Amino acid sequence: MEFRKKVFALAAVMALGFLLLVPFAVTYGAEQVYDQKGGPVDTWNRPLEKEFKVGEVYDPVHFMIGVAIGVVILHLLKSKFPKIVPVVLVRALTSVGVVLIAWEMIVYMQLVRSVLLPPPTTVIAKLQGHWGKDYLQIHILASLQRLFIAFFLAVFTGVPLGFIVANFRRFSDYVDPILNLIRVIPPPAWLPFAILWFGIGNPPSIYIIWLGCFFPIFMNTMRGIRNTQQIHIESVLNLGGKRMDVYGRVMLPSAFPTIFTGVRIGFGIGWVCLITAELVAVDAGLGWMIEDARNLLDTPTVLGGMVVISMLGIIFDTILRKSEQAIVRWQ
Amino acid sequence: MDIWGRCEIHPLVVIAIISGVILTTTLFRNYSETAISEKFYNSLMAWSLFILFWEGTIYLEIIKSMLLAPPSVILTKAFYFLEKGYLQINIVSTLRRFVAGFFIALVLAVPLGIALGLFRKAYEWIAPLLDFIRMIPPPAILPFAIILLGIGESPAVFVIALGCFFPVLLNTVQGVREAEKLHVEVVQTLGGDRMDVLRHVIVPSALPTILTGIRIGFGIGWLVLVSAEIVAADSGLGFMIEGARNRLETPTVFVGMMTVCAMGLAMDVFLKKIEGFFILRRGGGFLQLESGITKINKKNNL
Amino acid sequence: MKTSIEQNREVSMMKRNIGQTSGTENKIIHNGRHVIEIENVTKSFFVYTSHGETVITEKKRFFSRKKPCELVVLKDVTLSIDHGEFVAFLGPSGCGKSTLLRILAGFESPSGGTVKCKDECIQGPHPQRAMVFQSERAVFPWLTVESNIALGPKLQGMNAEKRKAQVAKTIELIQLTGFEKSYPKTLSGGMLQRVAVGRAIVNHPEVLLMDEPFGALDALTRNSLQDHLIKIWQSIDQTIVFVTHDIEEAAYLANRVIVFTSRPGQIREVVTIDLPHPRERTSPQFIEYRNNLANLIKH
Repeated sequence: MEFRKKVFALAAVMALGFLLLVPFAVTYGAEQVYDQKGGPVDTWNRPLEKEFKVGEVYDPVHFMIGVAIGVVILHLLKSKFPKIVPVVLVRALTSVGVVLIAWEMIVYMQLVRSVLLPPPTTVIAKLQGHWGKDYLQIHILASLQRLFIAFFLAVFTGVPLGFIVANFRRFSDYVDPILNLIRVIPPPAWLPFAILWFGIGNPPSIYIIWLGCFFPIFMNTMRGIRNTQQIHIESVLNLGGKRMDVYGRVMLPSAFPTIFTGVRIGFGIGWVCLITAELVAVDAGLGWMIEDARNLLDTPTVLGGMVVISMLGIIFDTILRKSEQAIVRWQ
Repeated sequence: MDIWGRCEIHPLVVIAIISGVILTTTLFRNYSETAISEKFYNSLMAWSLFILFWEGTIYLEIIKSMLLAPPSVILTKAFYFLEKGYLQINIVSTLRRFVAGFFIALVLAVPLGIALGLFRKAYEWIAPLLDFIRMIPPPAILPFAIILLGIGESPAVFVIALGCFFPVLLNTVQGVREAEKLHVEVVQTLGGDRMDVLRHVIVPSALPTILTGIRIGFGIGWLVLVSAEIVAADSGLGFMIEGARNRLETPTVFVGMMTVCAMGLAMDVFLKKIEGFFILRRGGGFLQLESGITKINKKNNL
Repeated sequence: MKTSIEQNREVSMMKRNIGQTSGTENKIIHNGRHVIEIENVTKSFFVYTSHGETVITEKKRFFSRKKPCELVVLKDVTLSIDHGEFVAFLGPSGCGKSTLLRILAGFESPSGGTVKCKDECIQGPHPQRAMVFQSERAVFPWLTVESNIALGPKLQGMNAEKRKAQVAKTIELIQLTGFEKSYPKTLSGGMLQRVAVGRAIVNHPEVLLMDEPFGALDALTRNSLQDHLIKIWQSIDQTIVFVTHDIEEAAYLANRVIVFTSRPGQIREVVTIDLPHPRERTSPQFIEYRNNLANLIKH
C-alpha cells in the first residue's frame, strides 16, 4: 500500500479512537466505568488477604517443578526444531523461568517474609481472583482510557504545532522560549497544580499525560521538518509542485521516521506519567489499585499490578515498533 | 491582593518594569538593527508580553480566582521563603535525593554495562529479563518500594536510581558493542593486552554513547524524582508543592513549580557543559591527553 | 579584436541566418525560436556581517546600518541555446556556472538582464526546464523508483494509465527495468542518478539541466553513464545544458562548450566541438580539443 494511504489510515484510526473514547471519559469520569459493570461496583469489594494464604491455591512445589519442566521442554523443542522456535523466546522464557523458581524458593524456605515479597504462586492466585471479580478489568480500562485520550490528543496537537513552528520562523521565535521553559518542568510537577484546577479524576491525569506525550512528539516533529533537505524541496518544485506539494509530498514523508520515533518516546513517557498521575490524582486505574493495595499491605496485588503494567507496556511498545516497520518501508 | 495575604511587591511595580523593558528594547532595536539579534528580541518580547498580560489581567480584576496568582505575589512569596530559608531547605533535600539516586545508578550501571557489552552471551540471556523490569514505570515500583523500605528517604532514592539505571545501562552496552573492531586490532598489533584494549579503545569510543545515556537517565531521574516526592516524601520540593495544594496556598504552588523549572534548566545547562568537556569529537580536553593512541585513531580515521 | 561577447553575438546571429548549428546530428529549428535566450545577465549577492553572523542575501536590506559587500557572481552573460544542442558550461569552481544553471531552472532570478525560455520570461521552476542535481540523494528516498519518476506527470495532472505507460517507457530508456519497485536505499549511486535523469526526462522537458551529475561517482560508472547519456540524448532529441568542471567530460559530451572565467563569471570563449558521437578519447582531434579547453581554463 502506498505510504500516503498508510499514514491517512493511521490518522483516521487515531481520530476515530479519540472520538469514541472522549464521551466516555471526560463527561462522566471514572464513575461511569463502575456503573457499566452492572450496578455500582464497590471499590471496597476487594478480595482480601485472608482469602488466599500462601500455598492455599497453588502449591509452591508443584509450581517450581512445573516451571522447571517447562523450561527443559522448551530447550528440547529448540534443539529438535531449531527453525520454528525463535532463540530470543527461548532465552527470555528461560531467564524468566529461572527467576521465578528462585523467587519461589526464597519464600518457600522462609528467607523473606511473604508480606514483603510474596511468591509467584500467591501473586498469580491474587490476579486470578481479581480477574474473576472484574476488579482488574475495571482498572485496566480506566487507565487505558486516560492514556489513549491524552496520547491521541498529544499527537493531534504535537504534529501540527511542530509543523507550524518549523515552517514559520516568526511563530517559532515567539513560541519557542515559552515552550522551552515549560518543557523543562517534569509533568508530574504539574500534578498539584492540575488537581487544584481540575479536581480529582480524569481531567488532571489527562492533562499530565498529555504534557508528557506532547513534548517529545512536538520536538521531534520540529526537528524532522527542519531537517528537510533543500534538494528535495527544489526537486519537487522543479517537477511542478506547489506549496502544498512541498508540505505534503516532501516535508512530511521526509520527517516521518523522526516523527514516529518521537511518538514512540512520547508514548513511553506518557506511560510513566499515567502511573504517576494515578498514584495521586484519581480514584480508579492501575496506579490507584497499586497504591490502594499498598495502604492495606496487600503486597500480592501490588506486585500483580506491577506485572500487569509491565506487560501492557511491552505489548504497546511492540505494537508501535511493528507499525513503524510496516509504514516506514524505505529505511 | 487580600486573598493571598501579605503582598510586598506591588503589581504596578511589576507592570512598570516590564513595560520599561519592552520600550527600551524596542527603541534600542530600531536604532541599531544589528546590536540585538532578532531571535533574542522576539523571545524577550514573548516573555514580557506574557508576564504583562498575566499581571495585568489579575490587577485589573478581569480574572479573579483562588487558583491563579500574579507574578508580584509569586515573587513576594519567593523572597519570603528565601529569607526564611524554607525554599533552600527543600531544594537541598530534593537535590540530595536526586544526586544520591543518580550516582548509585551510575556506579552500578556503567561497570555492569561494560561487562555485559563485553560478554555477549551473558547479555543475550539476561536481556529479556532486563527489558521486562525496564518496562515497569518507576512510579509503579514506588508502592512496592515503600512496603519494602518504609516511608522516608529510601524508597524515593531507590526508585530514582532504578529510573536512571536502565538508560545508562542500555547505552553503555550499546556503546561498548559499537567499538570498532578495527581499532581493537590496531591496539593488538601494537602489542596491547586485554586491559589496554579496554582502556584505549573501548572506553573512549563508547563514551559519547554512554554520555547520551547519562543524559537520558538524568531526564528520567528528574521526572521520577518529582513524582516520588509528591507521593511519598516528607521534605523537598514536591512535598512543598503538594502540601501547599492541600492548604490551597496557590502562590506557594507556583513558587515551587518555578523553582522546579529553574532547577531543570540549570541541570540542562550543567549537563551540556559536562558533555562538551568530555566528548572527543569536538576536541574536548580530558581524554585526549590521556590516550594518545585514541587521539591518533580518531584523527586519522584509521 | 572582438571581445568574446561580441564574438558570441556574431555566432548566434550567424546561426540564426544559416539556420544551422554545427555538430548536431538530428537538428530541427523550431520556428526559429531559441530554446533558451540569455541576455546580459548579471547576478550579485550581498553579504552582511554582524556579531560574527554572516548573512548572504539577494536583495539589499532596507534598514541597515552597515553597507554590505557585493559579491558579483555573474557578469554580462549573453548566450542562446537551440533545440537539440548539447551545451556544456565549463569553468573553475566558484565561477558561477551552477548559479547560471539555477537561474535557468528558475530557482534564482538574475540581478540584471533577461532569461527567456521559448520567448517567455522564466518565472520559476517548471518541469519544462527539468533539473538533475549534483547529489544522487535528490531522488526521494521514501518513494520507489516508479513513484519517483511518476511524480512529475502526477503533479501535472496526467491520468494513471498514461502515467504508467510513460513511466515504463522512461524506465526502459534509462535501462532500469526490473527495479521499478525498489527503494533508493537499495540502489547504487550510478543507478540513482539514472533515476534522477529519468525523473527529469519523463516530463518531455524543453531543456534538461544537469548540475555536475556524475561528479560524485567513480570513474567507471561515470564513463558508462556518459555514454548512456549520449544515447538518450540522441534517441529523444533532447536539449541538454550540462555543468561540469571536468574538461574531459565537457569535451566528450558536448557539441558546444561555454568556458567561463573565474568569479565574476563571464563567458571567456565558446568552443564548438565538431566530432561525431561516440567520440574516441584517444583520437588526436579529441586530444586537441581537450588541450585547447585546458589552456582556456588555465588563464
